[in-house]
Amino acid sequence: MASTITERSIGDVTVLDVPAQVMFYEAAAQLRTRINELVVEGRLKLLLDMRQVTYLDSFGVGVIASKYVSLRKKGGDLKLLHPSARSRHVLSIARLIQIIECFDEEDAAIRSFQSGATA
Amino acid sequence: MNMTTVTRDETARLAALRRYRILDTEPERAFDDLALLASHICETPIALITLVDADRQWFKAHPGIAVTQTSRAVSFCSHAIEQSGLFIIPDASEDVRFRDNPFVASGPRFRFYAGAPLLAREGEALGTLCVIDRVPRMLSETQREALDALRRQVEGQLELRRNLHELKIALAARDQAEADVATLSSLMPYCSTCQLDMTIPAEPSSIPRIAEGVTAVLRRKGWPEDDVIAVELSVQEAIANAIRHGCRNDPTQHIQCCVIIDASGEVVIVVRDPGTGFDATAVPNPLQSENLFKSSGRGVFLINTLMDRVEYLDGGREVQMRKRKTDA
Repeated sequence: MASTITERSIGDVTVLDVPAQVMFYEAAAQLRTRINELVVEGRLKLLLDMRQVTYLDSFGVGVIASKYVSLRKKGGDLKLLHPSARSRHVLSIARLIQIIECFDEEDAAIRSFQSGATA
Repeated sequence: MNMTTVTRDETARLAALRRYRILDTEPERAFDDLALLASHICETPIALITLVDADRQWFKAHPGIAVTQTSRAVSFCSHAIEQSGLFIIPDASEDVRFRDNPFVASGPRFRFYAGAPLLAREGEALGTLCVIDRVPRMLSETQREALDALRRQVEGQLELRRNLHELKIALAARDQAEADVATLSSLMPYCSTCQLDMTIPAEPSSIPRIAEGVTAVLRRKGWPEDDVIAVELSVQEAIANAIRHGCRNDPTQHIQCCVIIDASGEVVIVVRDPGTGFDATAVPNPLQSENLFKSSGRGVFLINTLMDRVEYLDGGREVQMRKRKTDA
């Protein structure tokens, strides 16, 4: 099931609009692949807009967790925009909600990348 | 599926139908739930549980449509009960038997119909579990299998209902009225027990279908949303693990899934795969710092966290999960 991940750049931050089914089961590999490509292109500040994501399962959590740590190691960062209460609950059980920054406002999320948090 | 026309003794068929004492009864949650599941799984706007009377067909459950009965003369199900096996009309407007039917030519303009005959214990066809769409279409093999499984569940509910009625009569004859009431009251919870046994292909599309079907039933039974989400996520994780690890993503393999929702407020879900199993105690804790950012290994942990009680049986090939409805 191929879904298009649309993306846009705001300064040096890349915002990825994650389709609903891409955070579910092995479709999550599509997001992992796209993030790997962005890293090769030098795009290391990623904001995942999860507005459309209704299902976040352990596969989706795995992609978020592993890519978060690999981006941080390269001096970048990965943050989440508009995660649903349900997605936050799953991330909370995985103890990642306290680590990976989540935002409900895009402007605030973009500003946070500029504030030196990724140093 | 091969279909053969069955010659039936209509008098014997109607006598069997009368023994179920179901015509013109009030709606019942168990039948409503099963029709709703058929509609969800087959992705049709309408599903019906029909009983075909002498000159009418009456609907025990009818999600997606308001009417509760129609004339038998315009009934698709009258044709379906003449068949053995699933009766499918991909496009009624192209079918000489149905293109002039008022439900096809005008009114709701039905196009697709698939009906599974409901058989009495005596073998007579009572009616159907059917799904209807307003656009021409077909069912996938998975949907056919699921519709047939739901058909068996409807038959089971009909038998349960008939058995209960017969039991009521026997008890009434034996005991004093007051004692009868107490005994029947103790039996009533079993009437609303819902048990679904499914064999599903090991493909990812099975995951949301089963999970959404289970959660639809829980919501109709008034479970709190947090509980429903916990069960849904656990079912997703258990079936995903069975597909990925138990069946190694081979869609020709099958997973058994049994869901029991009882009136006492507990759901029991059993997922079984044909694989080599695994040692659940050896799964690393994903909360330990060295595992926190790993890309996998959270499925079992999520299930164990979200459900009340989880057991891994038969060397890990079977997971049994239980959760009790949280009191309001």
